[in-house]
Amino acid sequence: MPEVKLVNVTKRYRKITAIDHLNLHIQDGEYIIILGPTGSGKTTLLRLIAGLVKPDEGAIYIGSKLVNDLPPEERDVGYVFQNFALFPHLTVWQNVTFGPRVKRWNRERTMSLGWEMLEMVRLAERADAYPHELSGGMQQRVALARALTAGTKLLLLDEPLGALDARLRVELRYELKKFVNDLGLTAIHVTHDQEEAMTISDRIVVLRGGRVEQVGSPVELYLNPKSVFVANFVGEANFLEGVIEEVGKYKADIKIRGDLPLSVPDVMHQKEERVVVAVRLENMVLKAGEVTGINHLFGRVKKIRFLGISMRYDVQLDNGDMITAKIPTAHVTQRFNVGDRVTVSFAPEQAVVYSYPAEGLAKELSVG
Amino acid sequence: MDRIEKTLSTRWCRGLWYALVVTFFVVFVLIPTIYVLSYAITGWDAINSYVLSDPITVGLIARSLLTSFEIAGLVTLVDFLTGLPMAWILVRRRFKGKRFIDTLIDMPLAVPTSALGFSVALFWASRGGVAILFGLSNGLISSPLLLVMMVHLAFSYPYMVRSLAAILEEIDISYEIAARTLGAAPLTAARTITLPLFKAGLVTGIILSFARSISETGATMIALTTLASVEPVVIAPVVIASWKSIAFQNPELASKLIPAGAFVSVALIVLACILLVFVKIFVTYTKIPTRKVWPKTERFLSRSWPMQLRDVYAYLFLFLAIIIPGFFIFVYAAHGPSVSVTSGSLDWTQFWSSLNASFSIAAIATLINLVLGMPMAILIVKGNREKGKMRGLTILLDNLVNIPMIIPTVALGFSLGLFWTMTSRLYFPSLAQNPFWLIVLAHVAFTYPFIVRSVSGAIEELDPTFEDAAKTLGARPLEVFRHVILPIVKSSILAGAIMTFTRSLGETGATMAVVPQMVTAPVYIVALVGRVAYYEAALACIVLIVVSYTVVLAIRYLTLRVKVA
Repeated sequence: MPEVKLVNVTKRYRKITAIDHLNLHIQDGEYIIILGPTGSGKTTLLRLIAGLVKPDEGAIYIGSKLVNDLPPEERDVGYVFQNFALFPHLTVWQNVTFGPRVKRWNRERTMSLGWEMLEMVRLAERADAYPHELSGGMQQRVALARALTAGTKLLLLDEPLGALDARLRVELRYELKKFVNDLGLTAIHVTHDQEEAMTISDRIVVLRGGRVEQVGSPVELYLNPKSVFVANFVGEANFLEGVIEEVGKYKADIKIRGDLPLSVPDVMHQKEERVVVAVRLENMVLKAGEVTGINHLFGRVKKIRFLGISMRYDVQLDNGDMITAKIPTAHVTQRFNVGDRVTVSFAPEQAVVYSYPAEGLAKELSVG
Repeated sequence: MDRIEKTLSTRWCRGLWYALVVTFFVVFVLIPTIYVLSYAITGWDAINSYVLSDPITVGLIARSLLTSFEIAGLVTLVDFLTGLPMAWILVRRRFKGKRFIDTLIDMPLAVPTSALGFSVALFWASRGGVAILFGLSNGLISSPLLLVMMVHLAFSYPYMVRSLAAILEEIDISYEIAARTLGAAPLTAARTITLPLFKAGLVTGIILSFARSISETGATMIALTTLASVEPVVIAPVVIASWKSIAFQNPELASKLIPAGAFVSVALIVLACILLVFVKIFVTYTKIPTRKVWPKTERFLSRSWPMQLRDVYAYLFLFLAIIIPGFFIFVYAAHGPSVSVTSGSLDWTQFWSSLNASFSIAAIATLINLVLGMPMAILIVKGNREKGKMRGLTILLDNLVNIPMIIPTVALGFSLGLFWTMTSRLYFPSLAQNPFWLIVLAHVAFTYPFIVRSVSGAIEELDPTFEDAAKTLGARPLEVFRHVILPIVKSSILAGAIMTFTRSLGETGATMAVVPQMVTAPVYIVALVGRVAYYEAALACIVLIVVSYTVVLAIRYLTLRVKVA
């Protein structure tokens, strides 16, 4: 059964280390999303599992079998490419049955599985069309059917929805998840779209610089991001730099720029330590005028953006820091205008405190 | 089948196959091609005593080389000046009959150069040619150098237009559009944006045209004999080919003529290489002036009538200098023997056997190169992509493969002749007695780059994810090749094969310089023209043209119909 295990895997391209001593264990039947910024090694990870590149160090297991030296054609994986890579000289049917043909399956089995897959992706009536005659969404479904007709139980998806337009992307994402569930497959899906990651995965693997930054369910990642990087990459957050003033039993007092005090639940850090406080945009509260209280900060509205379901207010605090508050449109009781004096606040338990990143906050927050 | 494919796909088997392919290239193409260079060292004493000590020979050689380079240089220049507007029209214009013009430009490529050259020579320099229009009693052109140039233009022009058009096609038109939205006149945009991006195509075009002109033997000989001038004109390839055949007829002169021929070959190779390297450096490092802009003038020149003038000029050249002279031979032959000079008759049996030899050689050379050149192309592309430890080797191979394309074919033929006479005398005495196979080997060597280049170009453009996709679906390397790569690059392979076939069919120099006693169709035509049997030569040319067209069309038709399973 297709559980996938990577032990201490390293892959270098000349001087660049694409995958750096990576360990990962994927359970049978899981829908795993690999999330990370450009250059974090997502695609390389997928190519390593498929056998399209070979690791320099470490071991890769599919099922219980060590596959390091197995060429891709003997690994029995399904791979959906970002550009779909449908063979331009073959029809939809010939593309879909390419796997069975080169694996020399008998005709009956090929026909039945081929039609089953084409019907599943609702393209049976387009079997004789050539790829260039199909729309992007159809091509995507053919690519999926082709990967599945080869009889695999392990599906590798390299930004499978990346080449489609926004609405179709959302629609097909759920369809994809449904197919995988119905067929009882293990899926490893690479993306840099965090919404895609949050909505369909069982677990998310956040990659950074060829290493696993954090693995967990979408909810875990959202609520307890292990680092500033993850907090920034999964969901959106405000980051405030500060220094620990006082450490109490359950909470710590922090001074941010301009000597503004914050009170947050934290027992991990020492007095005088530099820290970063992260609070999600949607946990910020906005009040008119100057209202005093714990974690209440004053500022002026700089910019307002209407996003449909929510409003985003960029507020410049009196100390110069920028803070963004995202208020659901339905909950907007009071409208603010640019230049209004406001108070932004958040409940202490909404804040997460991190040690100040070694390479600086800006570097940690860059996702390029 | 399954078992075989599985065995053949193993790494061990693939390694062996690639080793074989590389070995073939080195032993049968590369070493024979440049063998003559080593002769210049081992045979230096002979060269010194027979050639360099004889001022008459030295003078002759120097004059022949100078003339060759002069002609090739001028031909390339004219090709460029007339080919650029034509390439522009072909790529950037849409009009009715574009496909027709496209085909017309390619037509001279499928005609053996000696037939084409004879037709051009008749048109310009015979009494029955264009002279009729002006009521002249002699041909219009009376300068042999000019005539040779006109002949060379006819077959080098398509190469220039094709390579310029190919690179122009790749330059995104939106750059030019962007420049125009920023306020540049069309001509300014083309000059400052597109032309500087154009240099790579320029180098290829120059190299191809120049190499074609410098190596052409058959057509040059025909042009020179058609216009037997008072003052004999010597041109390097002709000198090599005639020395070789004199040496064959009078073996006692061989000891003098072989070193002399080797010396001219070496000089031709070395000079051609130096010149091409120089051209490459010059074109790469010369900046096309883009600083200055003359908005008024350039806007004026971008108006419709100067543009139309440009088109007219391009078309006029195409028809008056290439197409009409190139196919004049049909008109000439239609007049019948009365108009033309004729002495002697066409010996059909001999002609058919020469034609037969030509086609057999071309077919065998094409087949050999398909089988052994395609894997080379794959090896080169793969090696360049993978960036592994094989990379150095493949970059080296990538460059070495071009060598036979740059070296003048007549020098290549001479080199091959030397190499195979030497080795066969030592190892396979039977080969020395078999001129047919020697010529096949020579033709394999000089056409090898055509297959490799066209296939490697196509595979390079092929999206590597197709291959990855096939692999993850369970296809073994050989199946990936058969089911995915081959069908997609089929048309490029076909183009390479046709190129190989027609080049082999039309080659005179490499044939004469290897073994003079073997008569192929172009060699036979050269001989007919030499005997002033113009009408018969014209008939033979027409048969050669018709048959080679038929074969090309047949190959195209068959390969496009038969689906690669």
